[in-house]
Amino acid sequence: MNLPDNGIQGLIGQEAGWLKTPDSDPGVVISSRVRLARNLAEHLFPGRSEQDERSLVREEIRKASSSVNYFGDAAFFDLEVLTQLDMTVLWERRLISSDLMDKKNGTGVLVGRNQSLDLMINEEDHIRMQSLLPGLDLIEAFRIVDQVDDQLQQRLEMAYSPEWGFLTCCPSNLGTGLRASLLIHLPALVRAKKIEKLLNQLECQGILVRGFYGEGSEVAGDIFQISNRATLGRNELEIIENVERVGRSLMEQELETRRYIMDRARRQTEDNIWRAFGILANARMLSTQEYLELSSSLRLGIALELFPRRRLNALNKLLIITQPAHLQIMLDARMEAPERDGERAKMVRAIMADFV
Amino acid sequence: MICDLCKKNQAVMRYTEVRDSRNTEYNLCRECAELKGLAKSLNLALSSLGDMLAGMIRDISSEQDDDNAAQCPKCGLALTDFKKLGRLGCPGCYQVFNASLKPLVRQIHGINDHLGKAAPASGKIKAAPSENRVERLRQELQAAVLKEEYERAASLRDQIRQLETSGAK
Repeated sequence: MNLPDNGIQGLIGQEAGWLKTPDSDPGVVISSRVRLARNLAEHLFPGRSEQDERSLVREEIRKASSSVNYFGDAAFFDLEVLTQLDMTVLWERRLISSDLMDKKNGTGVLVGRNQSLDLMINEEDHIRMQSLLPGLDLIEAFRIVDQVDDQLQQRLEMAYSPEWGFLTCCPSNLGTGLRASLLIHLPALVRAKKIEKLLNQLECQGILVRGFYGEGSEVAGDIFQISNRATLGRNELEIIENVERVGRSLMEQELETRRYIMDRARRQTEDNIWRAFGILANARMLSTQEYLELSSSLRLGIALELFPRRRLNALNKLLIITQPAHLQIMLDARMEAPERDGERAKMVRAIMADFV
Repeated sequence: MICDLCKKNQAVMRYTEVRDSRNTEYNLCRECAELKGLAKSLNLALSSLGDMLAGMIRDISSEQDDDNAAQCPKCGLALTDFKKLGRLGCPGCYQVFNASLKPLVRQIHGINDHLGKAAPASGKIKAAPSENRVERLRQELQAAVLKEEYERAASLRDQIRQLETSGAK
């Protein structure tokens, strides 16, 4: 569980723990995430405080986190000194939010446990910690982040009221401060045109639906993010179990629809998947969006046993490294979009050469 | 937040109707939005907590007769600032603006009471969630057996065993 000490390059070189899908996993739920929001009782929220106070808060949190077991070998990134490109790499790896990138001063992020645990300092709240795991496993993700919270609370007094629980900068995070979310791949439901109806029903069950990159993002590659809306008035496990129940039900419906389309439209489905493979294996230019869309078909192809199961991890890896900032850091070159599209296509072709 | 039209479902979007040069704002659920012909594209189904929150705060602003000049003594945030930004300045704001926040919090979460984990200093004892979970899994197991979903039942049985042995340690 060694963590990189050579900064951003080290992070890129290390495969993130949450991308290693276990072989037993049906691969519909890509990852599970649980995040907790906390604030120190004695300080103004980051948006209201001066830089001196933010730096002080950052030091207090860093000091307290050094005694958290899971952060024993954590890497710390100070956003004040990172380049825009380095910060974007952290964002593309889902370690920080775009909000944190905008704030910079007095902010930072601690990354531990093979990048499956991280803690943002001075985002909207003093502390935003999240645990990310592969597949459907919100309970375990919560267990980890809850332990970190317990250990931090032995050293830091958090803002809390018996009436409203943990106090957060935005009232929408009050109470548990907990957001449980699943990244879920639903290609068969999209192709069978069942997705809209299903997702619209979710809104009534207190579930938020978003795109690949979270709040405000569009849907890409048939990947959706679902999470709880309310954070107050239920306990942590009730919140998690509701999201998990919805995720499991979506997964079952997706698997059933896959069986159905293979039963009724096998030839068309296989043709569609092989065409996607044909493009990915031969294209000389690929945008991020096009790659996401086509790779969704390959992901489906793996589930339908057209490609070996072990290729799933190669696709997970590509999901991250084909993003713009990753491409540029890995190739050590600043590139405009057309050039990036060329390099992306080259990278994808190399993987496709022995994909089948 | 409940839909303004059917008063039944969760509202998922905000809609401004302009009639006779007067604007009326509604919070709508998916079904009512469809009836109004508003929710056709898939993109509309994507939630934006930020937009909804801004709408709710506007609602509260119009309903409440609070002293808008009220200020938090600790951080200096005025209630009007909160209504503009949707963000509070410090933990103390929750006390100072308690009366104005209550209806908003209820709109967002549907309830005003914290039932989750307590801070250690508060003296409350953390609930033992594992028991509830085993109990819930048992109920699910029973239901699965009744429905003759044996594969699911077997997996539930394994989960219960696992929880029980890990709890016994």
